[in-house]
Amino acid sequence: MAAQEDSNETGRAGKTRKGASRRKRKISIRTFVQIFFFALIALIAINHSLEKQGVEIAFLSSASLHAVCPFGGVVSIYQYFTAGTYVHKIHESAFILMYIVFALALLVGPAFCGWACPLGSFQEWLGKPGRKIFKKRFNKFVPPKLDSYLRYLRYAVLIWVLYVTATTATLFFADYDPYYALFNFWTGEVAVSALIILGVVIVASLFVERPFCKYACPYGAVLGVFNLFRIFKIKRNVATCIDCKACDRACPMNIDVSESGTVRDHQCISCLKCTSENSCPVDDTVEMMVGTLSGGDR
Amino acid sequence: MKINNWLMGLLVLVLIFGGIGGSIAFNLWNTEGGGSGQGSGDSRVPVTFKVGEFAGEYNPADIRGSYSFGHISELWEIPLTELGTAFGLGAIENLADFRCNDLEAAYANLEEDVEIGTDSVRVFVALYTGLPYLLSDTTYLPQPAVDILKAKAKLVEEQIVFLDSHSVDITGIQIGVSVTSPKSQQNMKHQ
Ligand code: SF4
Repeated sequence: MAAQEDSNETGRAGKTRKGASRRKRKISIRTFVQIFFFALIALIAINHSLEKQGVEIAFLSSASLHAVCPFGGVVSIYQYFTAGTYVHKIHESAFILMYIVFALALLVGPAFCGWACPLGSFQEWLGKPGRKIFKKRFNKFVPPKLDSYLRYLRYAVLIWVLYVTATTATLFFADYDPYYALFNFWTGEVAVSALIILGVVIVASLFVERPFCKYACPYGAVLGVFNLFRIFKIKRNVATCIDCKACDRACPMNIDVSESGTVRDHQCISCLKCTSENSCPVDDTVEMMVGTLSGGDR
Repeated sequence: MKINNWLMGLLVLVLIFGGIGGSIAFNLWNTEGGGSGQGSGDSRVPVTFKVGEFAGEYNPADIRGSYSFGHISELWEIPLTELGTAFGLGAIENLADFRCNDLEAAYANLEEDVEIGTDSVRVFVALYTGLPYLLSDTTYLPQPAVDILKAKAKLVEEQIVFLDSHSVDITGIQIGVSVTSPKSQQNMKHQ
């Protein structure tokens, strides 16, 4: 038995080294994708401003931000199916993006949040100095009990946004949307309320990872529901897990991956940070996959 | 089957850009204020009401900035001259080509918070034809439009109150009329 445990440990150690050596290189793929989307949206927003002055960057869309935001499709659903029109400033493109992101979420959960959303990336990058300053206290400032209630606040925001948009047929959320403020603050078109919320998000990001995503994002609330039935799920192999809790520490959304067999938490953003490829020191132990892990998951 | 970092990155990029590419190929991708109806420019057909007593009628809410007065006149059967008078444009030559987008520029000299633009046309068309439309507190109409509506449309009390509090006396206002050419229209496509 002892010999068997030894060989298990050796096996795990071997796998551990392999996993750790791969880590740094592979995290950069997500960063690359995030930078790509952030730059793309920033350039489109700048091009939209330039276009109004009669100049344009060639080969780049100059659409308004509303036209390339999939959440625009979500807020327009009611009006589309009752009156057959879109909410003012929303166009077909927002609806198409909404379907694409829903398809992606059905497959792998809210990967849009973890990989593409420029506001999510922006908050994540702001958190880096916060992590350096506060070390282990970073992302742990909100008391757990309060935090567990606040996590549902974004559903209240979602209901409010859908209700007011449906009754007024206007894109009123732009006046509160930090994403719109971030990519339009130079235009003079952003409401003071949106600028204030952006300021709060910037400051809060130094203390909490992705504060807007966690507590207020109505689109994250919609996509989070897909975690209940996404095809590829984050799974932990209970048989090979050494209970080191590296996955919990890596998770930007404070999910206790080490206590789950399958992560169904509505807050997961499919960033893959918890996986064996990125933070778990044991190979094939935390994976995003379809089917069951050999050691069993719950 | 597992999803690793590479596969996830690829999936995100391929699904998003593949989806956009596919919708462009099928002519479904539209980022412009061109409307949810079919076609483009003056060939565009606005959406219709789907249910209720107005089912099948064109919905004024789908009037976009790119719609010309001539097109609106045809679709909702409002005499072009009446549209011109309503918006203080009776004197211009090529009224049929005048686009809703051009209204905002024409009435650029109004006081702050008062705007006459595409939504004003939507309100006028809806009230003139008796079709339903949500009245927005930020939308104003020129006084001649209000006079025409009061004389010719069947208005309810609430609509009359709205018009009385959302009319702009345009006598003496310098209207900067210019008709957007199809080329310069390209530069005004995103609202
Ligand atoms: S670290 Fe894992 S559990 Fe946490 S958000 Fe990312 S994928 Fe989801």
